[in-house]
Amino acid sequence: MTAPFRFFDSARLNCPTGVSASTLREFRDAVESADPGVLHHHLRETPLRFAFTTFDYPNDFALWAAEALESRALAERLASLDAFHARDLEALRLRVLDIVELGFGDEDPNRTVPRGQEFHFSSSVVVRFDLGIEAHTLEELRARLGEVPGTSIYSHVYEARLLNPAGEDDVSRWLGLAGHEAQAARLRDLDIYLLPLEGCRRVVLELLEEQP
Amino acid sequence: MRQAIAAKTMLELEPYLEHVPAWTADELRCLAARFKGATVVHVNSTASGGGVAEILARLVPLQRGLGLDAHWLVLDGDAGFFRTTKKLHNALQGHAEDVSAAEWDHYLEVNRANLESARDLLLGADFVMIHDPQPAALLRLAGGRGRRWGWRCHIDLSHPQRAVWRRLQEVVEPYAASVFSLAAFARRLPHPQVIIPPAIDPLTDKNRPLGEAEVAAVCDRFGVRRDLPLFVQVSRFDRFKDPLGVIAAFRLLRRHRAATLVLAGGSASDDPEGQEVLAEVRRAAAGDKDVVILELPADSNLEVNALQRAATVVIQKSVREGFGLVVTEALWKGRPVIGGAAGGITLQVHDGFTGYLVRTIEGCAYRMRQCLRHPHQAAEMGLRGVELVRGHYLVTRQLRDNFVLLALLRGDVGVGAAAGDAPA
Repeated sequence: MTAPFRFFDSARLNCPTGVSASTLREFRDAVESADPGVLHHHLRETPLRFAFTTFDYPNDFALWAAEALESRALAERLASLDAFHARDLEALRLRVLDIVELGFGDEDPNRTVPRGQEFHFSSSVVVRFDLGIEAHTLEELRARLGEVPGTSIYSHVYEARLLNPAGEDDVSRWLGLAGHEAQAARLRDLDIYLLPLEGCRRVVLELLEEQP
Repeated sequence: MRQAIAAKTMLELEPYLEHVPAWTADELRCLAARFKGATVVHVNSTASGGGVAEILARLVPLQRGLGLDAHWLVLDGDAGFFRTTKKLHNALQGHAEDVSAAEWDHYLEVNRANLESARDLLLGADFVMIHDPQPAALLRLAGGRGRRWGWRCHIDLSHPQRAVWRRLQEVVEPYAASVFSLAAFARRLPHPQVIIPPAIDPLTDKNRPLGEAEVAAVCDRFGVRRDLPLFVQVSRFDRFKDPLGVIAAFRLLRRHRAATLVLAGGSASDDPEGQEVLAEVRRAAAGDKDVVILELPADSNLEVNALQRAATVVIQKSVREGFGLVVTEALWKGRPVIGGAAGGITLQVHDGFTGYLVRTIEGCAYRMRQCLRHPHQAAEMGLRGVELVRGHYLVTRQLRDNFVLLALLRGDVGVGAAAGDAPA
């Protein structure tokens, strides 16, 4: 008998580090020395801030390049970093630095963004808690996934892929253990990078509706 | 210090569930359970009037409703003290002010007297939240001995007058954490800083649903036509809100479309610069029957609500802005917003999604015209705005954030998953 799926949730606050960048060069220097938690926040927690938006630029760095620096080329390259697929933050840091330095060729690295559009580097603090909600069957799992907070979807789908050794989200792991291998496989293949949280919830529910 | 009346009341979550997803209650109850019975004392400088009092009037009763022993103390001070703190407020927001040594001494004396009047409650509390600069010296005067004290700064500290900030910094540094509304407002301090954006309450007169008759009655009372597309900007008569730019944009629009513009702002009677700007706005609008200028009393919540609901599009063409809660209010009413690309407006107005960000008069006019030319698209942006506010900027989110803050003060938080490298 498989243990029930137990829903957890998280609540977090952004923590500004006091470091900001108003030019591409300052941005590069700040990325180089940023704590890993800062990179995690800006590259992987963006869906939490745009729960309902289908966004062109799925991480904070790409969004800033597009909107403040108005550099579409840099924004495209930064958007192409899949921060959930690439699990090593130090490798991600080096990739960001490579992309930014490549941008030095197209952009004046010392051009200042308009006042108010500086990039403020932040990390986050999080409280994780048990929602006290369980699902024992596939039907119950579907029903509960439709009812829990978006932040719970983030924990079980987005963050879980980073934390579980096989890179698997919690939902597909449970489905596999419970004998729903077809649904588990579909969910493992889901590209979550460009999905806002609510879009992710909808797609997961659709996948679970499909017959094996 | 005295207890604010609202601190003795309790608010239940149920009425909010009409506006937020049902899981909000589960989430808040789970978080509240960690702090059941904990004494939380909020201290600020006024029980009514102003954004901080508005926030505490809802937050404290909601915390009590969720099982916390929440208190709200209001600082006692004389006219001299409040003149000084007004100067501090202005200086911290970048205006030139001269705060004398005698004024600083009096500031500390008033804080000391207030500390003595509430020493047992403050020093025995599980958590103390000090709001803004007025009571900020309480902790230092208590010898920095209070457990789990946080400083909640509601003002923009991005470009403070250095001499004043340096003095204030000395009293703020001993806190366990500081809270700001936007990352851009924060200063570097030797303790954790967190962001809790402000929020609106969907149950207050300013934001509750209104019937068509109520909206029509307000428009009739102010002589606002509703047979033409209506553009509304609600804000102080302040150069940073660019009311003259809005009139200029409206006139560019009117070359193509007939419409009405309402500029509604608070009374400027106690603000010399505001009076000057209002006079300029009146001159610019003189003789134009399609531009309505309204000087509203401070408690015109229902009127603001009705005007925002009557609007086809809401404008907030600020060139500098704090968070811009007036934008939040407009989005909550399902109106697309054309906003200046400044401060917190950029967090709320996403181009083509909930409205348009503009940088020029011409851009503002162009987007006004675009909203009228594509009403279906404008209506969709309005609907998305409601969801954006529901998800991020209602008081229930503020309540949740405050629980995370308490956890931070207790040392009971983690960092984002995989903040280091993920396991191989």
